[in-house]
Amino acid sequence: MKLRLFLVLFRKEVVERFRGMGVALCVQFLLYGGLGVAFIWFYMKFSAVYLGIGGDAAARFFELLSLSLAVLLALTTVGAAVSIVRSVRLAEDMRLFAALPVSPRILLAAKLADIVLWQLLLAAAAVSVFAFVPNGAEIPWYFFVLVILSLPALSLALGVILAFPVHALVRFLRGKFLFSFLMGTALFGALLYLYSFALGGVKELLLGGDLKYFFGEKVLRGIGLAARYSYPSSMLAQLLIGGRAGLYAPLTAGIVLIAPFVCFFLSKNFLKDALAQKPAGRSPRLTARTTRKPKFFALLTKEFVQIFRTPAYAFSYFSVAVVMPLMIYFCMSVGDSLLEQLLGVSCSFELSVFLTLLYSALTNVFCTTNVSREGRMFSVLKAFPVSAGQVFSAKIFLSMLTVSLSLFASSVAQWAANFLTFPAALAVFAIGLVFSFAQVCFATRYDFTHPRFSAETDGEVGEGDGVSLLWLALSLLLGGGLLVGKLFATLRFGSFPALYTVLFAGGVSLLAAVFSVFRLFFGLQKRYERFSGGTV
Amino acid sequence: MEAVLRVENLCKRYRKREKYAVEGVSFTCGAGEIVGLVGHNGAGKSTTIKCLEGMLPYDGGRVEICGFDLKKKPLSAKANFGFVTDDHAAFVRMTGRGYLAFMADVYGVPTRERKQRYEELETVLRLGDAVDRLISSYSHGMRQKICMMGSLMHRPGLWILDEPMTGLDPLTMRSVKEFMRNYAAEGHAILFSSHDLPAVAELCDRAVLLKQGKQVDTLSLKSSGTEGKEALEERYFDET
Repeated sequence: MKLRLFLVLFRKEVVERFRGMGVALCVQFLLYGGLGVAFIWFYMKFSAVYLGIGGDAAARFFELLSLSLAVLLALTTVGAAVSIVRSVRLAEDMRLFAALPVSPRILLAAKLADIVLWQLLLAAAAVSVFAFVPNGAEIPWYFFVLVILSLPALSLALGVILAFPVHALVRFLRGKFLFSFLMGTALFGALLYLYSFALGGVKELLLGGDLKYFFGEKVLRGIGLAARYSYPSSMLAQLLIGGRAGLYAPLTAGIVLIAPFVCFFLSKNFLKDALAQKPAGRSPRLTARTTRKPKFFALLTKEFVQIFRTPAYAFSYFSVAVVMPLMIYFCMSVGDSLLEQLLGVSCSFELSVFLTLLYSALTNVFCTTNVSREGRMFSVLKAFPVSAGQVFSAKIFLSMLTVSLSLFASSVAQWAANFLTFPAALAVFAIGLVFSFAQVCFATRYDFTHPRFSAETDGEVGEGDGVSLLWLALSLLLGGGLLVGKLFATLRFGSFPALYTVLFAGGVSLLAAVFSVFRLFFGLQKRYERFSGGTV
Repeated sequence: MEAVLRVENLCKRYRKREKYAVEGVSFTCGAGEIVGLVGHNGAGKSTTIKCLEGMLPYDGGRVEICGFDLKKKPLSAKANFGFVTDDHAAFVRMTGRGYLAFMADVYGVPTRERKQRYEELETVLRLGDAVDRLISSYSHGMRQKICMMGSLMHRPGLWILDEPMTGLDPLTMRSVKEFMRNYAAEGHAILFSSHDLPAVAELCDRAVLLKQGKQVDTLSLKSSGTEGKEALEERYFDET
């Protein structure tokens, strides 16, 4: 009976991960799969370079494994902590389970089992990569299995400890919309800085062809020390290279057996609070301006408030928009000189157009929720004395305001850094704006025709992958095509006027914009009046 | 009596081949009148109300609010009524006060009148300090109250409520009933749907009885005292 109940609850948890995902799931697999393959390729290249820098090859391999496992463990621990807080403490279904005759232990076991399953799959995929690192030594398969099993066990045990401060942080940030937005954006910016640093490294690697100067004696000594003392990953790395197996194998097996119990007992407190319906934080007191605004601005304010006060929305829209100019700037700083030095062709303008189209397509992905995020209120809005044109114009206006500011900052930064001349920066801004306008209108219309309303009153919806992918593909084709065209034409014929790029990118964007605007606004009032709901 | 709401032969079906969810419903609601929509679950009360509010498109018939045809002049018609949905739908990321400001903006309520309206409604519905909290943190009853307050910010000629008594505590329920009576006495029209037969009998001048989407009776309850109440209960149980 208990096992049956556990399986029912476990199945529910697993199924809910995929709820409402069809094509989106395949797209996600493709996207993440692509990113994974790219990362593995880079990792293999790096490993080959690192193992070949000289000195003791076995020591290099141990350092590589130990530090890779440490990073992996850190990531999975943070992932486990967030999953525990989300699925055990903050899950909406807890309200229902509090009233159902379900043993809290079985419920907790099912929720943790779901987290373990995903951690296990991730660990298996990540650790398997080590088997292909060309080090010359063979790793016994049973040690591989032991390490794969130990990673989720360790990350869960550490994750549940981390879950307490994570939950405290979530409670602290509740209602502090501006603070959490700034914090999220700063964190995102910092990650981006690290990314640009890594890109810089890749550039050096490609241009110099040698990393030896980077890993001097002092650096290697530091890495060696870090690798040796980064417990417990150094222990797992030792196990993988067959060192002190007599000690580390039983120790790791012990961790695999004991860690889940530690996690289970520590997370029981979380579950108790959730089932007792203890509030996850006090609702904040906020001030609201009550001065009179025209209808359009009232709708615009509503749109802004709705996004800004939903942390996930604020991050995936405003933070991305804030960081987009930095992203373009960093990519330009790496790509511009790289292309010039590798191929001898200066193509700053085409590269800028390509990056602008690509990153604005990514920023505007959020507009695929322009209707769906309203949920039930989209139907209710029909009873207000506002026209469809006003409702949709407010949505489009807010989207365009956000992306315009972002594009403006990006163009100014590129002009100030001398990547572009003033007319070129202006052209990039204009092309990006028209392309974004087309995307926003297209995505809004698609979301209106195929809304994905949340079942919860204040539930959140994910971005529409199909439309996002279409615009990403379009930006890659248009921007990437022009960049390749420029390189090819310059190498072959000696030149490729920037005017062609402006005409082609601008022309295609303008056509897309005309098409999208027509699609959205033609017959909108009638469609709006006919609208009677959507898929949940 | 001048009809604030005129419904003529209203028909609605959700899919073309399905049978009508609402068929041939006709009634009026005059100034100063309270009309109740009564019927069992699935009788078509909420569908009728959603059609009158413009949330659902209707397939046949005519709806006129304060002289404006809902299909021909939708914005003018919508500007003349306030509504409360059965699920107390509101923009939950707004604070109560922010929501009231939004509603006042949408209906064009002058700034000088807003405070006075809010104070009037606060006396009846007593939201207290919660008005400065996010609506997402409100209880069921508090959401009901903020929706009622929002719907009355522009003092509409017609007030439409879908199951208004659900979720209210007895004290608030009494205040709301009293408020409804006073609001109607000031010359406004009220239409509401309810399962609460005593409340309908107590408040309404007339009750429209629906069954399987069709209007089976219109009962006059005005000044009929306990007779009206008994007649309503009798007809209701006969039909359901």
